[in-house]
This record gives sequence, structure tokens and C-alpha cells, in this order.
Amino acid sequence: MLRSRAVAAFLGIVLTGCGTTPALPARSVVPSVASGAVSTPTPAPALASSSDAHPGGSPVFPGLPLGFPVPPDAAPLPLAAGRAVVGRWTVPPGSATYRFYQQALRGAGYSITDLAAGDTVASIRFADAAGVTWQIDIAGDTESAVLEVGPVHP
Amino acid sequence: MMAMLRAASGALLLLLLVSGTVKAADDYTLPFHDPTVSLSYGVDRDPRSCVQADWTGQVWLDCAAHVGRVYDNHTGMDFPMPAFSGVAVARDGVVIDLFEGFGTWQFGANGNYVLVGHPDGKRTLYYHLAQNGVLVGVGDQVTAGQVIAHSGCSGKCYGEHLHFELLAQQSGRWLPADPNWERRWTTWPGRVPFLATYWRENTAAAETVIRGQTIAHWVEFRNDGGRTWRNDIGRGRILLGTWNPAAHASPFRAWDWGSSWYATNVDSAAAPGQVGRFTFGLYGGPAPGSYRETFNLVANSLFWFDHAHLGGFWVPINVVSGTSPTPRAANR
Repeated sequence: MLRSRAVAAFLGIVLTGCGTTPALPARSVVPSVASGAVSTPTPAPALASSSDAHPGGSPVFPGLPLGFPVPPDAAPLPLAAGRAVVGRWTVPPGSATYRFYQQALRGAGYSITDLAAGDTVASIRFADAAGVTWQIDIAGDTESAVLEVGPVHP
Repeated sequence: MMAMLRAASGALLLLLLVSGTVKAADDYTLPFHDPTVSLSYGVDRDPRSCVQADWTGQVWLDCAAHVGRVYDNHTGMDFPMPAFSGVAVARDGVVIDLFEGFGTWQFGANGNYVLVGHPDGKRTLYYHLAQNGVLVGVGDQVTAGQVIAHSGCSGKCYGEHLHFELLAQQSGRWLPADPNWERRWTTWPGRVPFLATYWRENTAAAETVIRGQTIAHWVEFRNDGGRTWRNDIGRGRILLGTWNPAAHASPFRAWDWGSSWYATNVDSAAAPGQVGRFTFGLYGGPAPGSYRETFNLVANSLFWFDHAHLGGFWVPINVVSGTSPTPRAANR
């Protein structure tokens, strides 16, 4: 129960102010089911699995955990003052980003401690070598999403 | 890697499960059987943008996603689970519509789904199913707990999960309801509609049966679940079957058994809170000696029975040689 509250409290801190998130395109890439149309499967774009692919990522956000991988197509966003978030980007569809981090975090030596997926939101918790727990939140739509990372305070 | 986030939301459910004996007025079950599945995001009961009312009653004046609770304008409940997990229908009903042509991991609109209509006038929706993962057809009668599809991540889906929706009609429109908030689960918070407690047997001692003959034995269980135990034919009737291993062929099978492992149905229907009796024959098949046979309750063709709670029971049986002028006969 306490853990749950902590998680909720953290997320409240991390994501408060989403109203300032740039408007995301609403176009759907697949016809609606109601239409009965069948679309051709279109795999999400492949993403590199190392922060090396995005050399600009770390310098923009010095508070990131060491070696934190950033998707190559991620574009940095300003951090809101007074929040626990240490990195913020726009990224391609969240499904690709979610999958990217499940591989890239392990590849970077982090241990994933939890995965929580939804329709257009997802969250990943991971721990670094020092035992600090971090959380990634991905929220958006079918075209793009906002990626945020910050430490989890017990 | 029972993760913290999952544990966090799971902890809430567990606490409620432990403390809650409240029976819901409605009769819905969770749409899966895996007891480790928890809620990642629930229904937003407030239609306003960036005002969220979660299933606990908490209101969030932001547009953030809150793991274990809610995200803005979410119309269903997201249950993360590996692809191709079993998706169970939450209540008896009829399949109204379905689609299964999208890829299992395709990103886009609604994805593959099943829509089921229920006798109470409500509907349930199961989204993001695997490609060709639908196991039922339009018009099929389905029974609560029946696996109707395999999960996936088709449509709007950031990671493999089941999006489950309960829809109620208001003023001619189908609007999402929140089964958590409305406590519509059979057993709050709802996981196991069929739950039993061992009650008693006709004898606490070992049964003695002459080799080649049959005696009657009965055992009673109290119905602690949310559903009436039926003894009619068809899916969902409550059986007594052999256990450890499940459904093994028993050397004590009597003439009244339904099969080599299926000893009997419940003698008569037992509503929640009532005691159901199971009467069956025990045949002295094996060579003289001391044995025991293990049984458990089964919801026929469904996956719903909390065997972890019941754990089965066993009957000590002594098979003896000789004859008896008045052997007890099975009563059916």
C-alpha cells in the first residue's frame, strides 16, 4: 500500500504539468476496427540500443544516470522547474520506445525492476549499480510520445 | 522480477482481497486466470481533460499517468500480461462482434477485439488481442471464466496487455463503466468466483471396502465463492475429480462415476454460503492394502476454481479381501 502511494506520488511529481506537453498529432496509422478494414502490419521503427547513437542526449541532461540509453530519434524537451524529472524528450511511437528500453537498459547494465504497459502509456522502473531506482514514463499517442525519466524517491 | 510497480498495484488488490468478503451485487469476474496479473491503469471516471477520478475515489488534477490507478480519459482497465495469455470472458453472455485481422504486435487503432453482450444489458470488450487469437465466433454463447481469446499488443498498445472495458447503455449511448469502482466483481476485488472450504465427510476414519465391491462415500464443501454451484449438465457445473495429479484414472472408480477421474457432480445446487455435498462410490479395485485417493473440486471446462485455497482432500481407503452379506452400495 505504501509502495503504491509512493509510486503514485512519484508519478504525480514526474508528470505534473503534462498540459504543457506539445500537442501531438492525432492521425491514426491504422484504419479503425469498426470500418472492418484490415491494414498491412507495419512494425514500429527499429531503434538503436545504445546512448552512443544519440551523443547529444547526455550533455543536454546532466542528471541522467550514467550511460542512460536514449533513442536516436529522441528530441530533447525543456525540463519543467521544480520537478523530479531529469530528462525529457519527444520520441517515436511509445510502443517502439517501450521495447527499445526493455533491451537497451539491460544492455547498459541496468536491471529492470518493473514493467507496466497500457494503451498509450507505459512505465519502466530500473535500478542502477548503486541501487538507485529510476523510472521511465512514456505517454503519447499512435504517432509520438513524451519520454521522461527521473529518480524514484522512497 | 516481480516488479515494484506491479507489486504496488497488486498490493492494493491483495489488501482488499484479504480484508474483503463483500459480495458484489453484480457478477463479473476478472478477465484472466493468471493470479500474478495486476492492474497497470484503470478507468478515468471523470470525462474532463486533465481531471482524473481513479477506482479508489482519488481525484487527480493533472493529466499524468498514475501507475496502478488511472490515466487521463482512459475508458478501460489495462492488465499487463505476456502475449498469448488466456483472456477469459467476465460474465456469461453472447459474442456480439469480433476482429482478429491485425498483427499481434501491430501499432495503430483498436486492434483485435471481442465484444460480448451480457444478460444484464451491459457489454464487455477485450482489446489488443493476438492475431488470429480469437477462440469464439459471433453468436457463440460464452460462460464466465471461459478462455475466449489470446492476448497480444495489437492496436493502440505500448506494451503487451489486455484492455478490458465494461460498457453500460445510457440514453442510447454505450458508455464505459468502472467495475473496480462499482465493485461489480463476483468476489471483491474479484479473482475467483469458485472458492470452497472443506466441511466434513461421512466418516473421519478410513473407509473399508471389500475387494470387488463398492461403498458410498460423501464429502461436503462450503461454497465460499460468488457463484452458485450447479449440478446440471454443461460448462461450469461443479465436479469432484481426482487430484495429484489432476484427473488421473482412479483404481477406485465405481460404476456411478462419470469417467475414470470424474467421481460425481455436486448432489444439488449450492448457493454462495451454502454447503454442497458430493456423494460417490468407492470401488475396491486394487489388491488388499491401505491406500488413499485424492480429490478436488473442478468447474467443468472452466479455469475458475481456487485450488490453491482448497488444495484437495484425500480419502484413506482400506481394501480387504472376503465377502460381506450387505455391502454398502453407492446411492446413485
